[in-house]
Amino acid sequence: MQVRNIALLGHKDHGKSTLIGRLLMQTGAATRVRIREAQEYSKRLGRGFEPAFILDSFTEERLNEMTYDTTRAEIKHRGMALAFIDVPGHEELIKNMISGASYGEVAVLLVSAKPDEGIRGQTKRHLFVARMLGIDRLIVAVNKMDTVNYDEERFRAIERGLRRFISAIGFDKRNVAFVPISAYDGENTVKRSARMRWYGGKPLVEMIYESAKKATPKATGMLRIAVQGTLPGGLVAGKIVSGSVRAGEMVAILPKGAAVKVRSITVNGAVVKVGNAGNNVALALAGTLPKEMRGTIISGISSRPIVTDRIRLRVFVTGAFGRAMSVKFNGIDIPCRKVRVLRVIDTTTGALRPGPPRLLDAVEADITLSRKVPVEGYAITPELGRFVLYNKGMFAGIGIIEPG
Amino acid sequence: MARADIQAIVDALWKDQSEGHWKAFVKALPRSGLKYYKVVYPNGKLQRAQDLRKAYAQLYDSKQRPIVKIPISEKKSGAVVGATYYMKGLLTVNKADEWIS
Amino acid sequence: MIEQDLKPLEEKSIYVIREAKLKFKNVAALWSMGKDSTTMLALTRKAFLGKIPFPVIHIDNGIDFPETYAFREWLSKKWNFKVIVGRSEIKPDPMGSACCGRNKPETLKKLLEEYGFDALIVSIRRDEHGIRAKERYMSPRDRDFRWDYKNQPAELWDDYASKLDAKEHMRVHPLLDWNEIDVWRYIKREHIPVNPLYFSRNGFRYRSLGCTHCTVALKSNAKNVDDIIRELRTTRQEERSGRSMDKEHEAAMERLRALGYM
Repeated sequence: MQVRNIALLGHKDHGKSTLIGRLLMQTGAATRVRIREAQEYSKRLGRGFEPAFILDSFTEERLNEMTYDTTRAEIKHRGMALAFIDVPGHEELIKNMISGASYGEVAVLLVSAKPDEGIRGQTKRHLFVARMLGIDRLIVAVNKMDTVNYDEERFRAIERGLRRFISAIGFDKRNVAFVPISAYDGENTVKRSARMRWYGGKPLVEMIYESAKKATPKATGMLRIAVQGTLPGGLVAGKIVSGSVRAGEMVAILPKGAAVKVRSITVNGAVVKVGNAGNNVALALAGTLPKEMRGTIISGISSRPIVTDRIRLRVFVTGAFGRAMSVKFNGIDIPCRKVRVLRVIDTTTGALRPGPPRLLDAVEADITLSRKVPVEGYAITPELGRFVLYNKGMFAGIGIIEPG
Repeated sequence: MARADIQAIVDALWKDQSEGHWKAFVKALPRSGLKYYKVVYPNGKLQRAQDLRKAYAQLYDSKQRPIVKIPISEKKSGAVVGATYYMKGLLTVNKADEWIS
Repeated sequence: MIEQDLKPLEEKSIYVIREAKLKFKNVAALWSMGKDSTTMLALTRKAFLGKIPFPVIHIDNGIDFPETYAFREWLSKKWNFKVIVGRSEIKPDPMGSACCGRNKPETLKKLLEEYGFDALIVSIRRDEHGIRAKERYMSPRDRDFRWDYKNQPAELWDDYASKLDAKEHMRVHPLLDWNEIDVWRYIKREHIPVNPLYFSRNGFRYRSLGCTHCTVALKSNAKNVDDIIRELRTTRQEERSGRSMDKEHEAAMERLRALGYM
């Protein structure tokens, strides 16, 4: 069964863990043991049944009612496995949120309809990061509808409040849907709610299913192998991130560009004629190889990516953004020689703002690296267009090369 | 191997769980007709290595008839350590009626 | 139980195992002779063209099942890899499991120091237990094996943590995304040898293996891999229900995990 990864986003307390707990119960994925455990915990803490306790498995997380790190939980729906990645909604845990969201193919954003909650800065920030990570399908679940008597007007107001921002950061509006739900009561989560007849659409899980079905993997293009290094015995190990490689063909090893011949290809222990995208290969190469293979890219001779030491990145800042940074690219660390900030964007509004970049801003920057690397737009070959930034060894941000 | 012979080796093992006695057991095992085992911790408790001395393994023949009981520990430079390693070749019998753990 | 496509699982695991070997200087793997860590070894052979290019550690408390010892010796010969046996003590353990509780990580800690391993491949799966849902493919542990789950390095795309203090070692989890049933389907597909304790005798079998003291057989008539897969498709029982340690309070498990219990 194919597994689709669903990133669950949203401000803290807007009900992400409650939703997954509810879905696990309603689809029969939670074992009796887990449900009983959650019931016991709810009782011990002196409150009504909390579906979130099925999921938040650390005592500490249950007591503090918050998620600290990503949790993964799977449900089955109409022959598809949906793996929900629950991420922390707290601002200071954005690093953990990014780790979780980076696996997502579809994003579900939770916004609380409760009068004093609604759209928050963090709501928009999560959307911004999801879009940056390349997620292009979004379902906005307006949660806690039970707290506003399932009022349609409240739902529409939130929809209006978010539509413009969602389009501004680059989501195609045909790939965005809004669903009113109550995760706590299980309304409109798996079955259509009788309390919200004004809503003509399908329940949440069905919307996610359809969205995931349409999220087709990218068509594979030109040959790109991200090289992990040399195996004991001399074969070159790497992952084909796009295209395919044939035994006997000439390929280039970048950044230097040495041309070598592929003598043989091994995939998962078996010798094959052709290796395809997704395969982890071991290649026997004839010719002069670079001394250090780790971090190189193998491409076709006539379809090479650009090799450069100057890149323009869009960065989401998660730490100290500064001059003494380095990037992690394709498994190797490369110091930055120069960092020039072009624009700073407030990710809670999408608007430009003056001044030096601060934590959780987006930055457009020209960066000169201390060595040349083969790069491509993130949308063309994600593996060649994404960088993790470090400042003195600390996680400082994620950056992508935008097309153009 | 006659029942009496394996009994003598096991008796020696009960008296003294030395490496020498265990090796004699390993040597005798293939021709002993013993095939199955069940490890029993009589009161279920295992807090320290000394408790291993209260535990034993019931050994059975190929028809799953109980034959002898053996210790499951070894005395090694004064200390008691687990010794199920010496029972290699035997298979668990999983007899439910006397299952204790 | 969800059955996932085996191909992407296999690819990911091979990638992670290779990454461990190529990124760290001195790698070892933990092997309990159970189905998961044996599957990990089979994947390792695929990653390295039939070889297992690092030593394999068995933490032995002296009271494992005889079948487990026999399997250890048989497979290490058949697949030609080096086994390091670390002898753990049976002694009072504050967590209440003298055989397999905190005493095993203590032995492991000594081994890591003695051999200077900087990465350890451990075959845990997310679906085994609630708290394992938060594990990463690569997750650092400090000298005392503590796991700071709230403050793990970001793991995004294929970039895994690598910055390490000298005191730390990396836990590598290549099977993280596999479910129990996927492991069995893969064992079937690849004809991977498994410990015979998994198969039913006299109406009982073992579903998750610990030592002779802390493991209880479960009612089952599954006599081969096909039977087991069929059984898993219908069972509502938790995998580790036959492990006495898990029946204790969940917080105990949590503390164990933070201490490095595998």
